[in-house]
Amino acid sequence: MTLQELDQLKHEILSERFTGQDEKCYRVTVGMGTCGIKAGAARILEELKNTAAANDGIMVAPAGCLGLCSFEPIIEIRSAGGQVYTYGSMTPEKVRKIAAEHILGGRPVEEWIIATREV
Amino acid sequence: MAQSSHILICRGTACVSSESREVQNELETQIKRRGLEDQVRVVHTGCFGFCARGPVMVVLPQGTLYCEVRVEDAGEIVERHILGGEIVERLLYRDPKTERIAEKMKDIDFFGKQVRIALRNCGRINPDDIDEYIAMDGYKALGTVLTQHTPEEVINIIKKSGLRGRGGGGFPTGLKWELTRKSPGDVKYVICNADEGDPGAFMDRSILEGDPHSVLEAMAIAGYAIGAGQGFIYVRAEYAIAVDRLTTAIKQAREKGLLGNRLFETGFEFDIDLRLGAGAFVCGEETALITSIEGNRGEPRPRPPFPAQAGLWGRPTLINNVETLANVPVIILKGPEWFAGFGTEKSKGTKVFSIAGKIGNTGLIEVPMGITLKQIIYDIGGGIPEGKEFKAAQTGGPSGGCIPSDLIDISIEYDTLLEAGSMMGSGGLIILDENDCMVDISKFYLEFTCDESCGKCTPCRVGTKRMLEILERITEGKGRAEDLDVLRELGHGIKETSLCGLGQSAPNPVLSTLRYFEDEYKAHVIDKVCPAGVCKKLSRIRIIPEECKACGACARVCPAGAIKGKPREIHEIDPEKCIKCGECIEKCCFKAIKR
Repeated sequence: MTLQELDQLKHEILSERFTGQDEKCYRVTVGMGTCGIKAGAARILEELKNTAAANDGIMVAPAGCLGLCSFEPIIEIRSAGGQVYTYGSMTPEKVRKIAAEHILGGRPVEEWIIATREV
Repeated sequence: MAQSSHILICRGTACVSSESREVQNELETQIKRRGLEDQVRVVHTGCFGFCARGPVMVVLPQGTLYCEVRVEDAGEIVERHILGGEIVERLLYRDPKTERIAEKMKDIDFFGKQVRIALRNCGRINPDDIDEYIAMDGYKALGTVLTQHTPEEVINIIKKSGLRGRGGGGFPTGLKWELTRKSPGDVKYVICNADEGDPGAFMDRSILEGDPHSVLEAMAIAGYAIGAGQGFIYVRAEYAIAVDRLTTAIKQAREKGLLGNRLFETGFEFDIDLRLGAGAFVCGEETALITSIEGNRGEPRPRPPFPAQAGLWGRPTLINNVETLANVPVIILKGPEWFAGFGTEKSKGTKVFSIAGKIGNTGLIEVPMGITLKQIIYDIGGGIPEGKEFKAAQTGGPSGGCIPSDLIDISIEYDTLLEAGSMMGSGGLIILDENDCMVDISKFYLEFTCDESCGKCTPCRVGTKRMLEILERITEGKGRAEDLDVLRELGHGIKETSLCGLGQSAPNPVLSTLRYFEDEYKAHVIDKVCPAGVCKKLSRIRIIPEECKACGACARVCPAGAIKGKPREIHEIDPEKCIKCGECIEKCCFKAIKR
């Protein structure tokens, strides 16, 4: 691989997974560090994968630890606009509600948000 | 009252059913009674989404969030908050899990004060997918270095950045690279020290689990800089997830041609293999680690020669810690000046800490060097739970020491921590509150080093054991007057005469607590009392007869059946039966039971 090829690959992946133009596209990551897994992140990931399988434009990926271990399981939802919402202390029930209201409905579920940021 | 206020009160269905309308009426009455109608407006709003804790209200301009507000609370809010400007703490939201109080909505200031360089990708990308790392500019630094810089230039970039080893010692990284490069020899090695062993520390594990490629890329860059073609990651086997992800990452990097031969179409080749450690703490010491990779029992050997001169199989070897390496690709991409812009004169960049103990937000943080301990504890960590008093912070694990509360404004740097009798260490930060006994804490760490001493040299093997025996004696109430002097003398002797870092630092927890908490030691030795009530043999729980209302609540929770008393008869604790668990103290509404 050359440096140019690496750069080209980078931009392909970016547009495919991170900066899709469609407003309905979401990238959801689940904290799957040791702490997250222990707190039950595997079930959360599964729940979200089910949502992604049944709907278009949703990408679900495991990620490492965000650092706020006392709020695990943690998920992050990133919209096409680059707004990132971090939700903490997830349960399968809460994730189902978030999937329905935030990912499919576009309305963040205020009560479980622990942080927001722009990328 | 300086400025006008708004009170937003939720009138969603759920809050109305828990009487938010009545609360609003009462607020308005109270405001009118004090003639404040013109300055304070009560506005009802739709659902806040926090129905479980309704009625919910927010007081502006401060944005204070109050939960479960009752009609009776309205007067207090107007009197204390609106007029007095103070916050009515008992109505704030308390996280049920952490007991932490959140004053405002989204008031988790956890991320705001952090600067994430080594942790830049952790929790953001899929560690099992090399593509996601590439999307975050992964391997670009390696490509740039191989095609545009000489090894000497790379070393200069790292030197200029001021990066120092993050594993504990704080040795300048660029200098280490240069020394290894200059050592004669045609075969050299790069080793990543991932043998993280401090109790309560998990910085390296998180990086390996969350962003394994950053470590691989940095090792290849280091290999190019020193002239090595092979790297090893020494990681403990109990980090199973980290091992899995590293294995996947190495495989994917090889498939993509980012490890192996002719990287970026240059003549440079570099590959990485894993070596699993069995979890001996001493193997985090570099010479013991090398001995362990060579297939021998993990014991240190004297330095010099340093690994840079004669390391793995006698060849010049560069050993860097996980976090140190994770900083390298960013330094290459953003420049050494950018990196050196964070931190202080002698400690550049950021440091990852795992914060644990008596703290609201247990977890992993990355902060610029030079931040104060106070900012870490209160701004990022969310303070001490249950309103307890901060007593000390333990840094550097079993090799470090304690920083007492009057040094809470200390700037976190390699040198300031050393001066304070502690050390940066790898980044474990354990917060202690008034209920922790300093003698007990240092006994805990000494038990650890005693267990983990490899036994090769006498001062460490025998000396730590003798110190531990003295501490055990003290916590059992059998301390002797001369014990504290003996502890100091032994401690200094072990530090000066041990072969490796483990022994040289093992007495630190004891010496630093002796320095700052001598009174507490004296209380144990002379008065035979443990002020924090931790050392069971030195604490007694008693009921103060004048305060006791003979309600029987204590007797009902006592697991040992040690409390005697009937209704309307002052209760008493049988010291023979009492196990000093403190359940009764928590239960007594009249604060009639004391240690």
